[in-house]
Amino acid sequence: MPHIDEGTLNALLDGELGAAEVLEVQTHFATCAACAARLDEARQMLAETERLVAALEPPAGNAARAPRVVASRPVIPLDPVVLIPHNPTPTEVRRSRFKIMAWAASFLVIVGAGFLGLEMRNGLQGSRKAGTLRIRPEEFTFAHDNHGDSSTRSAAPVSRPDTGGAPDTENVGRLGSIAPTARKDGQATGPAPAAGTPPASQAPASPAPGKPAQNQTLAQNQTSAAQPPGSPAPGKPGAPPPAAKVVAPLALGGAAAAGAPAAKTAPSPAATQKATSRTQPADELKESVDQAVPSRNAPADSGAISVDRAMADKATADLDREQMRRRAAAATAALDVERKLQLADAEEAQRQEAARAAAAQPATPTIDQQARLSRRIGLDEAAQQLGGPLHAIDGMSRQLVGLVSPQLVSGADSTRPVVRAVYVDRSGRTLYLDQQRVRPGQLDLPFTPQAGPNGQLSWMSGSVLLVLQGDLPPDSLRALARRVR
Amino acid sequence: MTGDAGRLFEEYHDSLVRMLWRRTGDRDRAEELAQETLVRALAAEPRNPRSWLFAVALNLVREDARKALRQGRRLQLLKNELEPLAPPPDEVMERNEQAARVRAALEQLNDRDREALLLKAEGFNYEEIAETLGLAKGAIGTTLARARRRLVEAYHDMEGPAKHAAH
Repeated sequence: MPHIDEGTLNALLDGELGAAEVLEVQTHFATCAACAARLDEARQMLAETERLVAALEPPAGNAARAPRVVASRPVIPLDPVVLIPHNPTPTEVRRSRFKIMAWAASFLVIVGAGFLGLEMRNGLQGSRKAGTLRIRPEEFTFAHDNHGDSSTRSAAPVSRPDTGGAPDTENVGRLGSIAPTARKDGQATGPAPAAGTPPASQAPASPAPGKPAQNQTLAQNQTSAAQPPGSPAPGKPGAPPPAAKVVAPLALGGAAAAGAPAAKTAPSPAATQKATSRTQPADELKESVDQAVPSRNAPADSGAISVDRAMADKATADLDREQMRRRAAAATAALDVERKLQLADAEEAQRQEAARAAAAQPATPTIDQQARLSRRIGLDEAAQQLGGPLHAIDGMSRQLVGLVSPQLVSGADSTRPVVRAVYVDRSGRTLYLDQQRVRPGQLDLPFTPQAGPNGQLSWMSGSVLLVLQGDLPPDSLRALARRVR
Repeated sequence: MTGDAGRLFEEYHDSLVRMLWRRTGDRDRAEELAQETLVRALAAEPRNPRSWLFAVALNLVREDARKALRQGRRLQLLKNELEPLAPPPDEVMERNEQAARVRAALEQLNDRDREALLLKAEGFNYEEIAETLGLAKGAIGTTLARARRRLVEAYHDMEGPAKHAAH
């Protein structure tokens, strides 16, 4: 057979070939690896094309208007073998029929068994309805009674030691749900018998109206199971007779209504025994739980569990320590930040306080301010202003030289600046030697010091007006004036 | 007549719009062409509506493409497609770029191959494709094989430069 062309391969993949054609190409594939490879290639090409065309799906906004319709496309077989139509042989047909028959037989057996079971159950129920009410003390016993003593596991209302033998109302409800029919009968028996009192003799005394037969049967059962009044069970001194176990839960309703005064006032030994027996299953349960779940103090036979638990405890402890360490570090960091903030606030407050104090205090005038200088000048500028060298007081150190307003100097030319030389004597007193260059003939002053109205001394030295003033007595000023050079 | 219109619309509208959208890349134009196809079907009452509808729709697309080519609208459509007004998120942009490449690869096929592919994507069998495109049924397999191979090759040829450009 020649090789299969691409069109046929695609038709095969598209499910367009008939059964005979499929069989023919499948046969060819079995003998021609090249065509099988080309089939794989065509399959990949088809899958790639589908992926690309799917990329042309309308956008999400358009999808609502044009929802995708699942086209009735033929299934593309993963394996060409599945395309071959299957014509069953007679043997296969027989096997198939046998399978169907086997399934049918199994179904009939199951249905028949179910029907038979239902019949048996109905028969049992019918016998119960027609016969006696089979309520036995064992029906009220706990399933995990390992001691074989149902009296200590009875479903009777247990008397807790701390309640003085009062019935456990919690258990009353639970037991009521367990045996509702029995409780009805128990209620019919009237008030609960006092603990320790054989209730068997009282139970049939007041049968419930409308249920004489049942109560009678119950009483008979109880009577048959009960011990003689006052005779404890063998091997269990003080244990209530079995009849008490049965009737006690049945009379719970009445006992609760009556308050069971006898049990409250004087807990009997039987009640105490019940209370003791009530704790016993709990202890056993705890033991079983302890055995099933090894505790932290379990012995080494727990093996890997103990080791794992120890490791877990250690990891937990490490984690706790790590958490504590982190919390402490965080708290310390927060404290440091808080402390730094407090220090910064304190420094800022100090700065502000100092600024306020400085602003409040009157500024000490500098010597320039005291001398009321407009600006300081050097000796050269002073010589330029005066047209000659600056005059000085012999024997005294000059503090500074500057310009002052002529208004401050009595008799000075108001249009020209005055050069002031500042001196401080040994007593700290300040002296000013003011000097101003004047035009010849501008001032009519002698060349010897003349006292002015404010105590200052004024005289001419060449073309320079000299004025000496200070907080000194006039004699001292005159003495100093004589030392001006 | 109203019942026929409703049935035609309900049965073929979505499929027509989807095929036309894949063919044109213009959602609004696909809607318009689908509407026009359905209106023509109401007047013609074809015996086999499905093949007739898709054949008419493809004819309308070809005619529309020729007009658009003359009017330069086709270039504008491609431009709008490649340059969306608002830059979409990366995922949407990547999807749009892939769709643009696939559509460009599809444009490189001849009409017969391209339409056969699109009809196959709409679930047409060989007989329906042959009837719609006026071809022999025996030629559909070969047509589809060629169309598939050319589409994949054209797409990979475009994907290569795009990847190089991305890197």
